[in-house]
Formats: sequence, C-alpha cells, structure tokens
Amino acid sequence: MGPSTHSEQNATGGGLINSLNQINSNNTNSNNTTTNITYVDERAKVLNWLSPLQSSTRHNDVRARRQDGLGEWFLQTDEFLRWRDGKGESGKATLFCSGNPGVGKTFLR
Amino acid sequence: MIDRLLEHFRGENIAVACVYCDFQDHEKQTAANMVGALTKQVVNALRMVPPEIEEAFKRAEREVGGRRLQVSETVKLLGRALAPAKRTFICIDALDECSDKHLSQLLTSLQPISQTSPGVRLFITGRPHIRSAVEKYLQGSVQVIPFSPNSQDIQEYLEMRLKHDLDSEEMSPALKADIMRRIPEKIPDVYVIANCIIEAVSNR
Repeated sequence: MGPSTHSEQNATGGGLINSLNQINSNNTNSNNTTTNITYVDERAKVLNWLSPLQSSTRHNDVRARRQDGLGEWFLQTDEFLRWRDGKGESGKATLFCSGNPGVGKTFLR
Repeated sequence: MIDRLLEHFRGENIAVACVYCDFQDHEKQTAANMVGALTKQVVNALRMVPPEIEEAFKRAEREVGGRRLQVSETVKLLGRALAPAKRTFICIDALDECSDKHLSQLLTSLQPISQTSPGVRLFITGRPHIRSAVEKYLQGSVQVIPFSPNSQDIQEYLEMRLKHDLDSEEMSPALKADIMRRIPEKIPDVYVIANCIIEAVSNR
C-alpha cells in the first residue's frame, strides 16, 4: 500500500487504485496518479467481468495457515532457481511440482 | 512461493497470478474463468488496463446481458495484459482437482502463451497422475519435481501444531516428545496424516 494520498487533491483515484487488491508495489506508470474516480469504478467493472473467481481470498487463507520455513529446500533447488531466473534457453518454462495431497505443495512459502 | 517471488523481484516490473483448483467448485472453475482470473491479477499487478481489454469489455456490455467471455477470448486478453511485464509467473495449484474438460482447455490455452512469451513461467502443482497430461499439453517445456517434505519440515510442522495443544490436559511434555519422535519415523512424507494423529491425540 502506497503512502496516503489525501494531501494531493487529484490523487484520490490513486488511493482507490491502491486499495484494489494490489500485490505488486512497483508502479511503472506515473500517469496513473491523475486517474479519476470514474475510471476506477470502470476498472473494477472490467476486472469483475474478466472473471467471477476471487483467487486473492484463497491466497490470504493459505498465507494465514502456512508455516514459514516449510519446504524451504524446494525453493533452493537448482530446478526451481533455473525456472525462476530462466536465463537463456536452459530454463524450462513450466515447473510441475508433483505430489500427493497433503504433502504441503500449496503451503510453500 | 508467491510471496517469495514477490519479495525476490521487488521493484521490478513483474506479475504473479494464481489459481487454486477445487473439486467443490467445478461449476465456477471453467477454463475461461480461470484464465480470466489470471488476467485480472496480471492487470492488478501491473496497474494498467490494456486498451484491448477495455474495448472487449465495452463490446460485451453492448450485447444483451453483458455476454460472458469465451476461453479463446480470455487467452488473448491475458496475452495483452502480460505483454508489458518483464516476467509473469502463473501458478496453478492442485490442477488434478480441475475437471478433465477444463484441465485440457486450460493447458491448451496456456501453451501458446508460455511458448511465445519468454518471460512467462508456469508453476503447476498436482498429484503425480496428471503429469502425463501436463507434459502432453505443454510439450517439451516441463520440468518435473517430485515434492515431499523432508524430515526437518515434518519436525517444524509438528512443533507448530503442538505448540497450540500443550495446554490441554492430555498433552504432557512426555507425550509431546513421543509424538515428535514417532510420527516422523512412521510417516515420512505426509502432513495430513500427521495432522490427523495430532488431532486424534488432542481429542479435537
């Protein structure tokens, strides 16, 4: 969540945008701060139209229930790091983490 | 893992989007809705609605009842949404819980995106039996990692669970020590079973 925008009259829209469930703090488009409320409403409508599914609710549930440190070894494997950093052709685009239910795949931190 | 990716790439122009499949939600979890949900998250992460998405929305709005999107349309929109990102991580959890029809549609839809956009990375979890389907639809680009927690994971998990149970009358330090010793010995790789045993012992 960005800093409070109340001090800037035209930045109210920016505050609303920030509240729209954003997970990436990197704002690459500074023009967004001039967005007005109508645009924000419109944007919420567009997003709802894209899909009725709410994955962020489930992610917050997982976040609340997981234990930090579990499966840490997995995040240090060469396969995972190659997939994440994918330099050149060597990194395969898809990582399939295969395991039976209950082994903790969902709760990888 | 999602949070870890976000931490690692903090400040960079990346998007992370995820879908959690669920046996109990087949009706809503269509391929179109899942790809739409990914698109929505990418739009949110990059903080911009591409003009193509806005135009498609306006076109749909003009039709009676605001027609819902087809999977082929959502895939195109996802491609547009993630184009500005340096990297996009798409995570699909418990793919085996998706219905067969939607599973094949979902993977068939994501395949061209993962092939043509070098910055796109797919992370899929699921039971071992869907491996062949994943490999079939995402030809040649799949790295498989069998996942099972190691003994340290099990120890840490048990510690966490038992911490909350020590107040109950039955739970004594001796019983705790017994659990910590025996469970990892008997069942090396399943949290769920460890969980059941703890709950049975603490009578919940």
